[in-house]
Amino acid sequence: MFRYPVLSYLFLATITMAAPVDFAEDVKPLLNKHCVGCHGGVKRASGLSLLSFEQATGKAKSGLAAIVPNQPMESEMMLRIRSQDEDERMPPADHGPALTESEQKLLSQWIKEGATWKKHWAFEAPQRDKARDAESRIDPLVQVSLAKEGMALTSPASPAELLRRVTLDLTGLPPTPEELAAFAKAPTSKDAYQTVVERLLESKHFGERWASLWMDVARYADSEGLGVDRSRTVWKYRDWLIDAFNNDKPYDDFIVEQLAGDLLPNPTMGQRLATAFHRLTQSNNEGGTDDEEFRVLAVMDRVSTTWEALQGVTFGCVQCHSHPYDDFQHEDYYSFMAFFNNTADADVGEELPKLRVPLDKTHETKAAEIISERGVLNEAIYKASSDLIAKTPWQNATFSSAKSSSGTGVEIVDDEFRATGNMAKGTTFTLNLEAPPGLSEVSAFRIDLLPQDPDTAKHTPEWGSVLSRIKLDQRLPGSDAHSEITLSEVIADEPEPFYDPNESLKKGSKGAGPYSKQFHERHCIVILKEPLKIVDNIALRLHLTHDVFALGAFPLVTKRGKVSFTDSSAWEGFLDSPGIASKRNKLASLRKAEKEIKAISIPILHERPAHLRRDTHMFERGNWLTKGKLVEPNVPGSFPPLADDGPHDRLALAKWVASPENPLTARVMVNRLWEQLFGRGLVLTLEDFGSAGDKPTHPDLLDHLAIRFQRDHAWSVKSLLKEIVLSETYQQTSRVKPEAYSNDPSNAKLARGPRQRMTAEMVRDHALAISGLFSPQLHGPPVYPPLPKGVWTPFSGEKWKTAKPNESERYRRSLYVFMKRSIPFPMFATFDAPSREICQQRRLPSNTPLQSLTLLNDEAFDECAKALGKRIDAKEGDLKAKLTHGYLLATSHPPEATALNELERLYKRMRDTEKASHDEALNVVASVLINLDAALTK
Amino acid sequence: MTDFSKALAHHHRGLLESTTRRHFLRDCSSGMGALWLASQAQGKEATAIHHDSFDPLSTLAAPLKGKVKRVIYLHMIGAPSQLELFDYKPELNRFDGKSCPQEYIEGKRFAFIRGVPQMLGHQYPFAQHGQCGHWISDRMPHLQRHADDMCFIKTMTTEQFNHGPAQLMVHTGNAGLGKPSIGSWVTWGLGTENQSLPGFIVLISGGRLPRVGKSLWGSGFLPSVYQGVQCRSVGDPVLNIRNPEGVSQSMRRAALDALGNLNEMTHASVGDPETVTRIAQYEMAFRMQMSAPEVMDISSEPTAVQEAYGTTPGKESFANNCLLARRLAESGVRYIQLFDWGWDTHGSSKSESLNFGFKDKCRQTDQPISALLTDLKQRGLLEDTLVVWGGEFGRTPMQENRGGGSMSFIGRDHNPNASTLWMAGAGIKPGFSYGETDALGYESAVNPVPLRNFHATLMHLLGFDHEKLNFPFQGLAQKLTGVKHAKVVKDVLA
Repeated sequence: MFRYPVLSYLFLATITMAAPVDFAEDVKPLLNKHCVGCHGGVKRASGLSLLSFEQATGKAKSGLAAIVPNQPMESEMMLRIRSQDEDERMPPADHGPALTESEQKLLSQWIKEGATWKKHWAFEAPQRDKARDAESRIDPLVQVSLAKEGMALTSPASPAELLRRVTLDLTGLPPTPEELAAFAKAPTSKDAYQTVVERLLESKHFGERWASLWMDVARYADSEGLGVDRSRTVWKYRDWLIDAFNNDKPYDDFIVEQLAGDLLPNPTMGQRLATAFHRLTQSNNEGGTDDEEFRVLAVMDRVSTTWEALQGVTFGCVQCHSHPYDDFQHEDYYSFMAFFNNTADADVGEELPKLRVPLDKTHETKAAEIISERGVLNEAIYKASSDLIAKTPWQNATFSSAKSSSGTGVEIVDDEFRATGNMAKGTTFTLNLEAPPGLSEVSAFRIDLLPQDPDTAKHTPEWGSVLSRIKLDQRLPGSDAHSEITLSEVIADEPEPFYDPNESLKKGSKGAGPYSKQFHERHCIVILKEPLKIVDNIALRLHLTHDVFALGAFPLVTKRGKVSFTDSSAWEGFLDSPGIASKRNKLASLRKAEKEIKAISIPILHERPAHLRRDTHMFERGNWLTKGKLVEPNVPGSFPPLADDGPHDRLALAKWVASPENPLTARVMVNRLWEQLFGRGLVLTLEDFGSAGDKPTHPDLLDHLAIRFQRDHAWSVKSLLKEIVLSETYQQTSRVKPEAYSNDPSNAKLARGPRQRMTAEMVRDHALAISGLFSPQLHGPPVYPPLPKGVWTPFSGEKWKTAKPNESERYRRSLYVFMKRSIPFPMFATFDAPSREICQQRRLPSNTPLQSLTLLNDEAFDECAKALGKRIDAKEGDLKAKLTHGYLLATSHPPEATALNELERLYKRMRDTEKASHDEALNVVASVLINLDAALTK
Repeated sequence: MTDFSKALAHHHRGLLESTTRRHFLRDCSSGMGALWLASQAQGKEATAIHHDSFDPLSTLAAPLKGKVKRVIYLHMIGAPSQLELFDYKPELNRFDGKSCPQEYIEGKRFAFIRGVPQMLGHQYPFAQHGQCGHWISDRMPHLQRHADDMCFIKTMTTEQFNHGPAQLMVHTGNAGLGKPSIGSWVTWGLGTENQSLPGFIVLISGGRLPRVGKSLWGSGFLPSVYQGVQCRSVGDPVLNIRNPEGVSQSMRRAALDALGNLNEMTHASVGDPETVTRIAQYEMAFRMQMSAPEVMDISSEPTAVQEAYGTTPGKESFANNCLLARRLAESGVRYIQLFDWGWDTHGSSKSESLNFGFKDKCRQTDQPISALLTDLKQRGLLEDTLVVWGGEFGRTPMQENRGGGSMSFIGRDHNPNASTLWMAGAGIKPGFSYGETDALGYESAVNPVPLRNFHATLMHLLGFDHEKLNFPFQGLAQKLTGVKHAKVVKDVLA
């Protein structure tokens, strides 16, 4: 029941407006502000959601439609918004204030005009302006927006200011005095600057600087994260990034290879290695943790990171409910998750599967061939064995009795043996088997390992089992002794299991069986070396030993099993049959060839075989233990569809992200690069291009650059960066008058050049570079520069092997520093570097006393100061010349006379008042230089 | 303040006025859109937190009248057994050694218990203490005397039963990494009283860092200036607080004078106010160098005090940290977090057992905590300081049977369904106990308190509506209490 506020309504309805109301600009923000908290993706109060036209114009629980297009008076929403009755009015008083008159007018007018629902700008592909997008329009577009405010670009930066900025921006290192001198001397022409830019883009340090950025996005770390936070060897991926940027790998390939390089035809080593991107998720090896829980967490992180890093959309919330503001349905999350739910990794302690990556790059082609070839051979052998398994008549064994070596019980139920009671580690089941009737000999037997609840296990697996040892023995009639029967081979039910099934025949805990969790009914075949004659009254005993004790908490003991026999002669000759023997020989020679290549093993993505596919279900209320509806892999309905040829797999998804039709991919990357150069994205919220994020300050410019990036630059990051740094906008001076500054503190309008404190990595690299300590070496394992005392107390006990003074490892670039998530490098953390647990899109720069203490007192910076002091001293000339050189090294500018005086005064004060030696005095001066504001900014 | 720094401060004020005091967008994070979001997402106005970028830790008044001005949080890392300390269950002793009733284990996930475990009676005798009659075991002979100061919650619950995620739940309200810790929220919301010390200080004892490390005092998406600063009772109290060898304090002063002058020249020519902020930070660093070592040096305390706490100056110990906590509280540090490692009493080894290691842990902590409460009270600090004691979850009334076998020592597994937390000091009802576990001490039967409700209560005590102290990030008005509805436990409030 409601009352019609007729009078005021009629009055307002007669007001006409000039231009049609813009949904995205005017209406959506109002809905987000006042309505969708309750009538959105999360709550849908009274059955109403205002997230799409269909939902808003459909009937709510009351049977009424909130919005009736063209009919504001019929629209329940308007009536409720305008209601004078406190019980009727929306939003209710305790939820928020009533809409203002003008807000009401807007909504009413919009409904009157048809309530057209436009997609949020970022979800529509940018449109190419054919006539004008062929060349760079950065400056005209910036100028147009400035002109609207009566502003203009400011003057160009001085050569020194510009060279410092562009050198640090493109390579992360400062220009040398020689480079500064040459550039200052060069005629001020576009050509001279362009030459510099081209030189910097070709610098080998370019890749290091941009890899640093991507390492935040990819949550790169040299440790596992949660739980014990053990070390993780994955640095080859970091080197892959450096090379990708140095070689200007097109951004679309860059994406496809990281998401699904393993699924490309005949993947190269690099393409396989790139998939380590999504193995940088945290894993948990704390005792008593559930591998499946943390596998699922890792998969969900892959979903969130894919969206945040590549699409600039926060997707994590859709895990529990539909998106509160944007048109993503709850189910979209799980359909998307299904793309990632079938990789083989499963939070097992060994971080399997791993890729052997040669230490020497020249061996990569050979090593990649070996992997591909081995895959084909294993697949063929698996195919042949599974065909044979299917054809083989298996005769179920009957158990006469069974016993267990541990507190775990074992019972016989029909043709199964079952574990009972508590699972104990080191359990061996001894199964007494009756001679299979009708068989005169046995050539092989089969062990089936069954989940306790097969239907549930398909999506929520049980702890698996590993047959650490399989032994069969016989006692012949009339004999007291059991004699062991020689077993020759164990064949698994998948082409490339984590553990070699033949380990079941050797000492050690590994072996056949589902490790560590079990989704499906599994089996393995054991072939006898020689067929076993079945004589009357033969006694057979099968021993199954389970020694794997996962996470110090879960003994991986077979819960339900069956045994069956065959006399099929096909198994006798199987290994030696021509098709198989040659493949096995080939595999042996590949193994040998592989061993000869020195390599390290890196966790990567690898798809599980089709028959072991995991079902993906929705989680009820985000809880992984409560599964809802079964879903298939797909992309959200509000986006362009997947290419319709081929399977909906990770590769299809990767290509979808990297396609020109995707509205977000190019914009997000363009914005990211822009933010690195200007300190502020065209969309401020790099992490959120959705309707709750900030609107672009220069929408036309963003779209222009996105189009240019995709089309004209063919996804070349270097070309795009070149276009930006060659713009006048970029080349402006950052000097600013106080009024202009307060007018636009974050430089959103771009009326001056960018000026920012350098990133944590740059601050350190800069100090190393100006002091002359810097080691320019590229690539390689993580390095261990000095760490303040008392910081390194790792839970997992590993050592921090500090490189000694004068060892080059001590002075390597920051991106090589060992990155442990639970103990981030203090200097980086102090300068706002994230600890890389999750994808981080931008760093919020801070300015704190702890930064000052680090730069003044930290051992590493003190070492830089001493080295810089010596370097200054080595400069020919008098004290003034030396100090001038120091200032130039630190700031890229020669000092003004007043600054030089200040430095000189400090030096003299050290000598005269403090009685410091010449070296000590220069050391103090050098420390001041390293700490200068002008030395910390770019 | 030296004459010089007075002059400098005066000069900076001048500079600031000329460059307009500004509220950096970045201080309130991601821009106006996000602010709007923060205020609207919950249908409530967000508490506006505006720190000057010149002074991001300046004291702000709490929006509501909060009785608590500072917090000392004692976290016993590894989860202490409430059944050996505060949660007395006579019934449990009757069941000692009997198989666990099926209803307790059905549908439950355990970290280490398998199959049907046996019940384990209290390992130590309990008695009632104080006017209020709190049950406290004989492991805490000193603390018993404070029974009438303590307010217990016997029914803390959490969703996590592994240490790492559960510790994160306690300190960030979320089981994953990357969210701000309580101390960061509090220093962001209130600033701190002493600008020469960090506002949020972390002290570690027990020989190991908690396993998720720094994330327990990280600032998450809040500006990094609000992250906790780990201070040490051995070696340098704050990283890099000491000048490098050969640099005296007067040399440093001269160097900072020159640095300040040079940076002012840069500011004059470039006009970036961030340069002015930087000058201020160097001055604050200098003040910190002067005051932190002094505050952190417990050796200056009288012998009687040292003895009361049981300190061992020059070594890392929980007792030292308790005394430090009092000194820091006295110096106006906003949030003081102590972590003491070694309470994970599974019975898997001597040190991790109820019959051995646990006794040592009790001995190491009982006297210092008691001394801390006495000391705070004597100095009048307990009137506006809140002391919190707890773990990350509770322990099971069943004996652990890891790997399905019997164990060499006596221990209990993780129990997320019930643990005990106590508070003492400002704003809470002293001598009060809230919530009851079931007869065997396994589930929170009456008045369960999920962590988020405790967080809401803590925020309330500090003068915040937990719904309103939020920060826009990833499209959501982020709060310590998370997305689920949280409510203040009013019954424990004074």
